[in-house]
Amino acid sequence: MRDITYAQAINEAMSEEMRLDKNLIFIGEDIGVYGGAFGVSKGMFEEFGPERVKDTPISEQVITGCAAGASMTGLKTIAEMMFSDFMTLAMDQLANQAAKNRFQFGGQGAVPMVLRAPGGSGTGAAEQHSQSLEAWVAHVPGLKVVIPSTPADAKGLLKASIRDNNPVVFLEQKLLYRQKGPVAEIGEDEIIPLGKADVKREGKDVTIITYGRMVPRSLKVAEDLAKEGIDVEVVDIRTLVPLDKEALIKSAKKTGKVLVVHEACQTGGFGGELVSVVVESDAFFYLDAPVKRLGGLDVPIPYNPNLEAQVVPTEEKITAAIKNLL
Amino acid sequence: MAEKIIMPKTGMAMEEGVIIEWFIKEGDVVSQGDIVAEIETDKSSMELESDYDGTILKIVHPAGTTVPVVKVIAWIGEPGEEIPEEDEAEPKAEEASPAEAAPAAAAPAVPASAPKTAKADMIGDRVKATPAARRVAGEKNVNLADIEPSGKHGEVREADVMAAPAVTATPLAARVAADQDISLSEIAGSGHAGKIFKADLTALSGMSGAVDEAFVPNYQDELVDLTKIQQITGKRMLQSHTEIPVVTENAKADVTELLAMRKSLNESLDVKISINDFVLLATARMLRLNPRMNASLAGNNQLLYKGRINLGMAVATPKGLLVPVIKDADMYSITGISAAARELSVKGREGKLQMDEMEGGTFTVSNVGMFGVTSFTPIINQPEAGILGVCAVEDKLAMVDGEVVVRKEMGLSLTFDHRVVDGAEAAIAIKTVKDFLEAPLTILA
Repeated sequence: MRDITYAQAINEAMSEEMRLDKNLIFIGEDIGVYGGAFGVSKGMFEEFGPERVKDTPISEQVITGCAAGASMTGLKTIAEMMFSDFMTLAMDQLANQAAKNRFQFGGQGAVPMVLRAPGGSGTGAAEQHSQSLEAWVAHVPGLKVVIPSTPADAKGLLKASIRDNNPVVFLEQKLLYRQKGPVAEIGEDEIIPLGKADVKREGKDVTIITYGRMVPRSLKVAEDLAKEGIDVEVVDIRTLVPLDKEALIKSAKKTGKVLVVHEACQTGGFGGELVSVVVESDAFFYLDAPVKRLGGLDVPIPYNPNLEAQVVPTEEKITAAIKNLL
Repeated sequence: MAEKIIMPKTGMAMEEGVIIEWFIKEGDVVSQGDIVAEIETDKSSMELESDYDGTILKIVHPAGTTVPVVKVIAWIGEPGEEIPEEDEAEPKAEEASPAEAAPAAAAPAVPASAPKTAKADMIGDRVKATPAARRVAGEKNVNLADIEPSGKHGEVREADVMAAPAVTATPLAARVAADQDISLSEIAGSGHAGKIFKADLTALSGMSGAVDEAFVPNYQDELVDLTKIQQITGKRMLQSHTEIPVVTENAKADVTELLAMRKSLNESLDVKISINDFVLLATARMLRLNPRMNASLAGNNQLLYKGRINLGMAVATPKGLLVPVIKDADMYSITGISAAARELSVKGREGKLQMDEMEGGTFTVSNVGMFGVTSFTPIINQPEAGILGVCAVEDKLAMVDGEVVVRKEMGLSLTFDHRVVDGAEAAIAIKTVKDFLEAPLTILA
């Protein structure tokens, strides 16, 4: 084990898989010589060459459509989108083509592609480069949706996503790219299967169900509250689709109090789905307080850095929400 | 904390014991296992050991006193320790003069706790409580309404229920409490660890003055209208009972084989034939063989032998007694009569019987066997000649091939109009039914 960044972990996952599978290619804007807008693909152009690490025009529809087409016809593809906000431009290729192919051909079609796209606010990138749009893609049957919160999860989940025979939308967290964490040595093949949640912190008083950037934030709150004698369990769902319902239900039954936290706008957010999973299950009979959702405010992400910091769940808001449950 | 030494309950039937002798006095230091007293029950005497180490703080009852089981007879603890007030006060009432002590000793139940100060919010007639609190309350048999809520919105939470003492009660006591709207958590049970018995509840309702009025069920007289069916039934019952010289003959039928055959039929045909269905069919066959039982008086000088055998069956319904009629009952197969009887009784209970389904009866069968009745004198449904009462099936020891075996025996009570049928004829009739039931294949033949 050594500590590397979230970005390096993603780079390692892609590079290791490309070494293993000569049919795996990587396309996107500025991923070649430039090394990617966030430097994620540094060194890959040099190692794998222009045939397998391919720069594309500035067209998200082209990137996604090429990836889907190449994957339908025998290659495996990793496509990078510079900002997940531009999934808007690629939605037809993603939702109507990539997601449907297997079903249209009676299960015989396969679209082994991963669409990597960074999301989230906090970098001063304003309303068109800061959104968290996971609920849009989670709503499309046929797409798997992954949001890792640590370098180790990023590496293990990306490898599993690349090996999956279905289109996977792999939503990275811009603000986590520089976060370091322990990751298995190169070549140790630490695969994390999709559909397995991870209890990042055990606790008995209240459960936070969350994912992505809100995981480290929730863990920080949990450590602070531990000093006050409040024992918070933090469950990182890691993959929205497929969702590890059992893990949520188990934790809800254990603590009887549930807070769902995500950065995305609260209305129509994936948190509503998570709440439903809990209250529809037999965990209902263990609930000792109304299940609470804490999402982002229903506004575009502001450019003003003070406002930007306040429209998403902050440590203070998470703390207050937990205390209100107890 | 001061601990109690209680009158032990050494057997299920033990209700009280006598303190023959104390071997210790107040202030003595005892160890766990030391003999502190000799207790006499109605069956034997025994030595009572201390369950605790400590100093005898108080002897509540002197030697010679009779004390109900599980009541405190002494306190043990640290020297100078306070004895809990509430518990100390309780046995004092029993220390009064013998005349006063008697009623108190006969009434073991008193409210367990002082009235609560804060109560849960209500949502309509439901206590405001979280799902977890409801689940735990159900498991502990605790009434949510008695629990002090700690929730921010006045709701009872899981921890509040956890903190409340568990209430254990016998199933019968729980049902009686539910029927009488008594909260079990307000009752101190006389059983082990406060388990509540039905006697605790009935004792409660019989005690005035000793118990908070709020805990005494409010029994009051009530005047209700008879249903139309009950009014008619009443008139007809009186008329039948006063006009007809009745005789009842009782017999027992060995139904061991019938029960086996019924089980086998039900399993192989996937039906639910009841014992009563066999009795109905056997009765119908009997009536064909004993036409006088299917007759009725026509004036003072004539007897009308009825051609059809239309069998009435008494059905208890929410509105009163109804007697739907299975027409041509002797023409049915066992499965057919079973289906017909079921349909009529369901209709009866649901109040959907048509008039023509209750007319034309020539004989009636009334079954109270399911309630364990072993013999009774049913009243004849005029102008019929008789009515067959069907009683409970009971185990009976019998000698078969020199071995004692268990047989199943069912009681039959035939009440008949002696103007129509003689005693011997009726005896033949009841024997015919008995023979059918004891050789059940003959019913089906």
